[in-house]
Amino acid sequence: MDRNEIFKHVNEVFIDVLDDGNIVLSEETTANDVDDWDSLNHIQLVVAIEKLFKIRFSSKEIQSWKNVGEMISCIQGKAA
Amino acid sequence: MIFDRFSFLIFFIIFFGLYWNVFNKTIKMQNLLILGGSYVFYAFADWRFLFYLIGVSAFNFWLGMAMERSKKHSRLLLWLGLLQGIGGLAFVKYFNFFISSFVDLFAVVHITLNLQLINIMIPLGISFFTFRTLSYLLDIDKGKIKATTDWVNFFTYVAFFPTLISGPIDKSRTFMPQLEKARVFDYNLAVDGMRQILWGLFKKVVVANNCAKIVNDTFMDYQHLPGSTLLYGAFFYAIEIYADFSGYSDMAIGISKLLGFRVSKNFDYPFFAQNIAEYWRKWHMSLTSWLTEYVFTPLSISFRDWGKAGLCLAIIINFAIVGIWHGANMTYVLFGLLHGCYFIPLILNGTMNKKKKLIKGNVIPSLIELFNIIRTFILVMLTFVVFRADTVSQAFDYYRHLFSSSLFSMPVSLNRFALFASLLMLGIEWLGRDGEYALADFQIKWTKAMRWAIYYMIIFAIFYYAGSEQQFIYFQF
Amino acid sequence: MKRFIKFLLIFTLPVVISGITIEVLLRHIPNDYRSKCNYLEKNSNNVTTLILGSSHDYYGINPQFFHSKSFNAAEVSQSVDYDYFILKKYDNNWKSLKTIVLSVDYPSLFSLMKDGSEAWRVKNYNIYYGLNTDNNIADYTEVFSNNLSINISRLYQYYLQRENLACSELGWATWYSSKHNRDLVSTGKTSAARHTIKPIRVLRDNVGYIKSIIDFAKARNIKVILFTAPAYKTYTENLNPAQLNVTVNALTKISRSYDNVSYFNLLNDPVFTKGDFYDADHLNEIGAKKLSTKIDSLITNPSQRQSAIPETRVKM
Repeated sequence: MDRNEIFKHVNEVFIDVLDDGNIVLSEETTANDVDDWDSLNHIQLVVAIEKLFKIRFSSKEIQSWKNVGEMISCIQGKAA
Repeated sequence: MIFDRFSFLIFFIIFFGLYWNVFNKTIKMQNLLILGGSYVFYAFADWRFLFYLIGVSAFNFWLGMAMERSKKHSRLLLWLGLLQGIGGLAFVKYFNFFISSFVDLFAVVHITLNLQLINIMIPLGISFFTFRTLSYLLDIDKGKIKATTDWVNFFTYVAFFPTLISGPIDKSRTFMPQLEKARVFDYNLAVDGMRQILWGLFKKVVVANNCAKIVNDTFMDYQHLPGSTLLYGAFFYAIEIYADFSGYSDMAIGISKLLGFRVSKNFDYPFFAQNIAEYWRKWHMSLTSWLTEYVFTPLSISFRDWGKAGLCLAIIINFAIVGIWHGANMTYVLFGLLHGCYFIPLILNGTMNKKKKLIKGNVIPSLIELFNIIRTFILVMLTFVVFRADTVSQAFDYYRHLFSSSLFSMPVSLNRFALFASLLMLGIEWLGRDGEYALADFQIKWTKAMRWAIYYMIIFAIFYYAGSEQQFIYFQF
Repeated sequence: MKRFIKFLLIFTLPVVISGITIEVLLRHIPNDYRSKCNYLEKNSNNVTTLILGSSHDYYGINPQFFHSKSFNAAEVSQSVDYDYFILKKYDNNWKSLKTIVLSVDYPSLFSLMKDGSEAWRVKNYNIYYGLNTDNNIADYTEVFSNNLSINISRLYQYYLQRENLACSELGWATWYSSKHNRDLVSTGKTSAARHTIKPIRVLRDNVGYIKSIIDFAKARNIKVILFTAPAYKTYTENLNPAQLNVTVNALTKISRSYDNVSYFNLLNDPVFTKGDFYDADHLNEIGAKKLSTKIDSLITNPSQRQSAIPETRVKM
């Protein structure tokens, strides 16, 4: 899967989980930039992403992402 | 030295003068003065535990550097730090609680244990500065910060006097960078700080102290009072604890601003929350944020395969810890568990994460908003009964009396001023809810003449009601 | 920074000026502490009998009924440390002093004025008596010893209503009048509860101060009469026996160890009847006359002292 496709899917997941149709992610987006994205719903985003891409993150990986770009890179490394 | 005491005023005036006029030549000097001042401050409050504070600072400072140097042993060292921090806290606060709970447990099966309770004194502020050192080590472990080699900075971070005794709890990665830069005097920040201190003092002296009387009388004599009075008691206690703790926090934050520091926000008008998740995003925020990052998130990641049940479990454990953090009593544990349970409906119907923001700028809330606010407030208010009670059975006894038919009889005459002050505070906070603290937007909203008039009225009220001094409630934690 | 200092000075100026004005106005209100201090400044070398202690003496002993030249230096809630400080202040001026009368009652050994809810009175001793009893600046001011609510009502009462309570020239408080006797049953309960102190914290300190007073007296050949003031049965029946026993035993022990000291337990003295009490533990002017006469006779007729002691049976 190429990076742009992953990006699109992840964006959809965010829209779905955070129930906000206006979310547009970029490489540098962090939790501070998205209104409803905090540590309480972070895990639900992670679970949704894992389900969608059929991958599994380690907890160290999950807590290491500083922005969406890093998250995408991590997905890229795991998805076929 | 407590912030609402005359002796603190004298201390701080001298400190402020030295800080900005004598010791402001280098960053090092600034930090050294804060460190020294913090130790003087702590010694005045309780000199016996100064050694513990310094010892803890030294130990964790060394651990941080050791963890950075040797990645191989980093985990082991982290565990050593956790053992010291949590172990020390647990021993000092909970030893007797564990022993007596243990004894009670065995008594249930008719076995008498002869275990000695020991008389341990609790170092002031231990619940707060322990969390500071723990966050430092955990952040190094996760690579979120680098260990510092500057012992003055680290010791100052641990002992920073405005927040030493009752928070807010700053994580090292937001506070330490401020110590590494010089603080330059900012007129607007300083005035803002003074305004926040004034508001904090008002809440503490005028609102909290006046509510305390009713609350103490009601709880002491609850068995002979009608349910309606007990309802008032619960209401005023919720107000009292909010005014007391948020007032203290406002003062701590304001004092920090006077020294050029921005410390964590601790309250965001929690009684205007529309559900329990929102409430905990607004109450004692620095503690919630700490536990969310270091307890809830790791737990929820580990439990993520169990879906909603996993989340519920993580929340319940998280709030059990919130409860027990407050002290060694089953009442606090029950308090925490109740709040954990309050989350379950939200988790089950998926709304825990959806932020319910109030419409900005409305003078009057919408009907739905009002309903949600009142419902959330009542849920929270009822848990404060458990929080306040001496034992769980006393709490249930209070509930029994509260929910009896006497709920509908006339309440015993109540202090009208306490009611007025409470509503006034809530009103001012409602109008100022879009700001960092209730009076934050004052400069924009009012003319100078009006502002000064209000400031003088507040000062008058503070002096008028001073002296029925209750100790800050969160001191005992 | 300069701008901030300027702002602070301008902003706090009205507050400071108000504070100073109120302080000055408050200090001008005539009060017992100043009048007693003034009296002792002038007359301490003439005083033959000095009465010290707390409200039980303040209201209960009228020097008018003493044969000797006496002065009542007792005050509400005055604990034994302050009794000692007052005594010590006039050190070598006590040229005529022959007897010190000190009441030590149910709460006396277990509390110190500066530690309890009456701590606000410390300023009276620092400001008006000229005693330097501590290092806390707030205790040398009127404005920081009571809140504004209390101070404003004091100012209102004196300057606008022109009311002020003042003790007699010889220091006896005159306003517990038999015309306004309060309910003995309810005051008995509330006073006893207020005076019952749970932990025995300052017993040693208080005994130490009493001994200091005794030593001071002994060095100058002065006799000390300790007594426990009479109270009505609605008070005494609500007392914690342990606290009372410790008090009586400590005082009895002291009186036996010093030859210039006598102790009289008048708590249950049948001489004092219902009509003598303003409230359950304070005498009115009728009772004060009785007590003063009794104490005076104990001073002038030492041989009567044995028979004057009623049975000190403490209820279990």
